[in-house]
Amino acid sequence: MRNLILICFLSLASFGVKAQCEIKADVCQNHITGEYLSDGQHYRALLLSDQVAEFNATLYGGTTYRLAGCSGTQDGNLQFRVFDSERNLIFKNNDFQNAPHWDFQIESTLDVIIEAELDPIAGASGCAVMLMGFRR
Amino acid sequence: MFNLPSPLETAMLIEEVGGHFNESMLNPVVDAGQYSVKEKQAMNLGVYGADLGYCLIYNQSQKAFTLLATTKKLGTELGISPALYKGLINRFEGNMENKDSLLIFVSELNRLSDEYLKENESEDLIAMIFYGGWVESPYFVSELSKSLDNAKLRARVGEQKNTLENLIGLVTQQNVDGRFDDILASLNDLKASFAKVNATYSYFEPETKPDQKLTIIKSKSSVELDDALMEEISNKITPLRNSIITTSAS
Repeated sequence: MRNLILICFLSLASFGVKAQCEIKADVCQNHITGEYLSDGQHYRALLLSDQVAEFNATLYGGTTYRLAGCSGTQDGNLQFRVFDSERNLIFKNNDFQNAPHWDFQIESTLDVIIEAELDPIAGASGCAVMLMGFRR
Repeated sequence: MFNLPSPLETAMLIEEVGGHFNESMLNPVVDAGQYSVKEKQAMNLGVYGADLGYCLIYNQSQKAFTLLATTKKLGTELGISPALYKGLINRFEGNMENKDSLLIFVSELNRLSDEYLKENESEDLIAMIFYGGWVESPYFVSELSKSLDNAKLRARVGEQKNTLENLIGLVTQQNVDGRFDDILASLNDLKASFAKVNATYSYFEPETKPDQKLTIIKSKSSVELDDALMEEISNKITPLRNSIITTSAS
């Protein structure tokens, strides 16, 4: 059974993995193109192949969000899924060759849960980075 | 991990519904040295960051530039590299008339600051930045709602119900030594008020357009809060915000 970990900043520090999870967000940032404004946050975690990172977000109605997920120096190493608060699956990028970014047009404000994990092909561990941008 | 929406999103909504620029809502620019404790510096970096975005939305670029200088002072006090600000300030000065560019610069500064502080294991300060930045948005909306009754603004307050829970989660993660107990007590008191917000949600099948790398989320939600609850929330947000911006000289 997969371990579900709530990525928290403390966990990175307490397990001494900082040095292994210092990749810059540049690979991901390339996907938050000029028409999107960054939400100002940088989500990252060191993941093992059987771990799933999870974060909660509120997406406002009338806004389009871009979610970008990366691991390592190449696109396509990270799988991510978006669920609503009732755990209905809204999107998974491995239906689309692990697309490194995807846009979400929101008609009505909703709370979502975003899960991310390494593609097993990408290796046994790696630093996952997720970024979010928005436009109205 | 917890995501908090950018304060810029609410500032955009305020402009969209016809709210006028109101300078009196901003945290007055003070000598950053008057915020002498790290946590307080971080909270006010969040507040000024939200104020800066609000000014930019209304094309108040000169005012925004002044606020940027204040955020630089607070940010460098917190250990954020001055080099991060130097490049941004130069780009800012060269694009004073270009609102879209300025918004990109500032949101990028926020992301880089977040990345920088995380790399330096200052997640406690990040939590305080988000705390200050979050409080500022519902403060703006509740102040504006006193003179402008707008359904979208009212809904935006109600939509903070879940965001507040995320904020509490974020601060709780950093409260290992109990130093944020007072803040958490205030936020949990606010949460008790938000629990009265009547929120509904109905799932509808989303539509995905692979050629556009786009998913349209069609689920429907609503929030309802009456005047009394709006006032109750406002009466809790305002003192919270005032306690953040109070300086040691006050």
